[in-house]
Amino acid sequence: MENTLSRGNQKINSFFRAIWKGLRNPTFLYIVRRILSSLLTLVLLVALVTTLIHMLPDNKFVSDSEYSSMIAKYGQTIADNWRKTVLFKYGRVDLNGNRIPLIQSILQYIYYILPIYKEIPITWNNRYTKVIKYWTGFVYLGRSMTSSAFVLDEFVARVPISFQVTMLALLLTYIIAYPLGIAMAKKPGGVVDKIGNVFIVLNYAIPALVFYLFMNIVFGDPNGIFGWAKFGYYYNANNPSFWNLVPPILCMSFLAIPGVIIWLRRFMVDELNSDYVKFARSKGLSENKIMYTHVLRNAIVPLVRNIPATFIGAIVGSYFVEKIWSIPGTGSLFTDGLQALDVPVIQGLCVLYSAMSMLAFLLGDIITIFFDPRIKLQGE
Amino acid sequence: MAKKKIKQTLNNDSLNLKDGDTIVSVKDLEVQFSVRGKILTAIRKISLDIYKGEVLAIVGESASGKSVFTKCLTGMLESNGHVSGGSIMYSGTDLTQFETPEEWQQIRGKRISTIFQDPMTSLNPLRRIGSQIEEVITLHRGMKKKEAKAEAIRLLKKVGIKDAEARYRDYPFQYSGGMRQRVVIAIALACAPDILICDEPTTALDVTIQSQILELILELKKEFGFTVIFITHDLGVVAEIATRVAVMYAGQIVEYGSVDDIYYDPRHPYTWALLSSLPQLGEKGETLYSITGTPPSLFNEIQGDAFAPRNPYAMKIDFVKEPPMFKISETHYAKTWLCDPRAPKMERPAIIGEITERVKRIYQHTGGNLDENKEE
Repeated sequence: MENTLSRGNQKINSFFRAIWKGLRNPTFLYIVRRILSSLLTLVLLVALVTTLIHMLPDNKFVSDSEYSSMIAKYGQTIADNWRKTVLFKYGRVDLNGNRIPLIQSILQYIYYILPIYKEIPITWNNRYTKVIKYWTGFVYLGRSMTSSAFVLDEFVARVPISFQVTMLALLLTYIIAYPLGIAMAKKPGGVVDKIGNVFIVLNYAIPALVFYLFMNIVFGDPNGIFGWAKFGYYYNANNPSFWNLVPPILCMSFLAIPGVIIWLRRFMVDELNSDYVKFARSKGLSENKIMYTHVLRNAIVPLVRNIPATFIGAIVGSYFVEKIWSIPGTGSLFTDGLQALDVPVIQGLCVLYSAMSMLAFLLGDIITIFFDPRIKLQGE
Repeated sequence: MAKKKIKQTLNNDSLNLKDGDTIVSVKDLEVQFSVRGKILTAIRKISLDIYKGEVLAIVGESASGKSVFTKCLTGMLESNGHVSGGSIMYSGTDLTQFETPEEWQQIRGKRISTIFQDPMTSLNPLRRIGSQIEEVITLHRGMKKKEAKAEAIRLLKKVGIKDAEARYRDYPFQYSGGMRQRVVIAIALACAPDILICDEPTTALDVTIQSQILELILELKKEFGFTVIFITHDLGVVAEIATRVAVMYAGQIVEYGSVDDIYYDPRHPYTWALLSSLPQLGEKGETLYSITGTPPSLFNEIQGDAFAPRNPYAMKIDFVKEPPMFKISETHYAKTWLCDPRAPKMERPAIIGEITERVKRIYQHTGGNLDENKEE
């Protein structure tokens, strides 16, 4: 009896020892450290953005002319009350009309974005004496002042269409750019390389906006060369059709191709000049074999790091493309928020985008370990 | 399709040769590079026979064309260079007629292997040691993956890597420089080549590792019986391993002969100068000799003897007419007018006369054994 117990104990012991060993794994520790430092960065970012918004004068939120017309219409008291309500909505004063100190705003925002369950009052009665409605959930990014939609909900609702367009454009870009890059790197200075370079320079020379507008017409014109395809000028959110998204996808990937080619070619040419390629050649390997099993394999290492960033970045659509083809995606959210001085949208998207990019770079670093055995992720 | 690209096929004649037979015969080889629109003649009419089983050392200062010469044997010239004349006969085929990479792939690795100077960069840093050896074995010997692995481990053991089974899965960065050079040698020998070209294989290594690697090459040579072409500018290394020496200057072989010929009876003033400047032969209190001036530019046509401007023994004719190869003995040739019977008798530098005594003194001192190495 005692024996079995101690044996069981031993089992449990070794189980915990294994976990303890796993926890002390340098790569794991490094990732934990990176996440912690990302969170710290996020807190600092919140503080910075909140401070900047705090420093804005009140008349950015309540315009002086509106305020004076209110005074003229309803008198000083009502106008003051109205002004207070508006400033309260923007989180600049509390219910009594006292200015909220900066540090309180920052701490409150951090509390909002902490992923814990919370209830947040969002609707009051007319006299602001009683809360009528609460928001419940985990991460609260505030509520748009212009559309009164919740920032996070609004963003999430717009993600799928942007993600679809950008992702397809990216895939198309890689499918076209990789073989082209490899073909160019095979003979630096050769015919393919020269033609490719001309393409890249011309492509870079085209202003994106002009290109999109032009292509919108070229693809959309029912009497034009693509008239038969019926791509249409716009994407119609009420009658969604993938066909309308084809032109923006093609245009986006067309403009993205040179960026991929340039880096791939550059890294491949670097590798081609290295000694191990010379040695591989002297071993009698064929040029193709050298190209694919040595050069390409090494050249993609520096590119791999950016892949998560590229794909996570695909959540955020292109502003121009979505405006021109009227795709209701995430691209215009931030810009529109800035224009309307929609404080919750600006703050919320700042936090969201920076969290996304920090995650992307962490993933990028983790992926690199698998491609480059020399790299070990560990703290000091 | 790959077959079409091979116009010249290689036969196996060279595999049946006995030691001492001519394995490679280079005749009037000329190599030109086009550099910024100008023509640079890097190799100026070299003729040399290479015999099976020998260790031929090619010595000379930097840019004398040592590496370029051996690159011609495997078609590894840089893209702006080409063989502009002459022939390289190997196994009944003129290698200068090879055009496509596919033709060269018949030779590279399989028949002629090369070891490069820097072991730190010769291996792909991101691939396992094992897979880099296997790659050659499966390519040239048509082995299956499993056999190839066993063969690779055998080779690793052969070049002196302990615990080869475990190290097979390592990456190059886990190896030291000497270990990497051993791996490079294992790869070069994976297909039992006829000829091993060593392009300064020990220059990047420290002295202790250097002698280990040299010993390894000699050991393996004894076992596999390949021919070694050894490029170096270190005459100490030459004395250690070579059986025959060719001295190169400004794209030409100015003197060649057995190690004895070159060390004990050098005839060309450039060889004298090289030997005189050997730090090993220097004596305490003596100023070390150094060759003044710089080698001539190979962009221009060279009048007379290329070494003449730097040569304190130069005669008038050296500036006017290029000397022919003079035969001194069956094995020993030198390209200098000093060997012409009409030339005045020149006093050789004192150090050359004393060289036997000096070398003996050094080898007694270090316990080295020059004579034994020579006989190999």
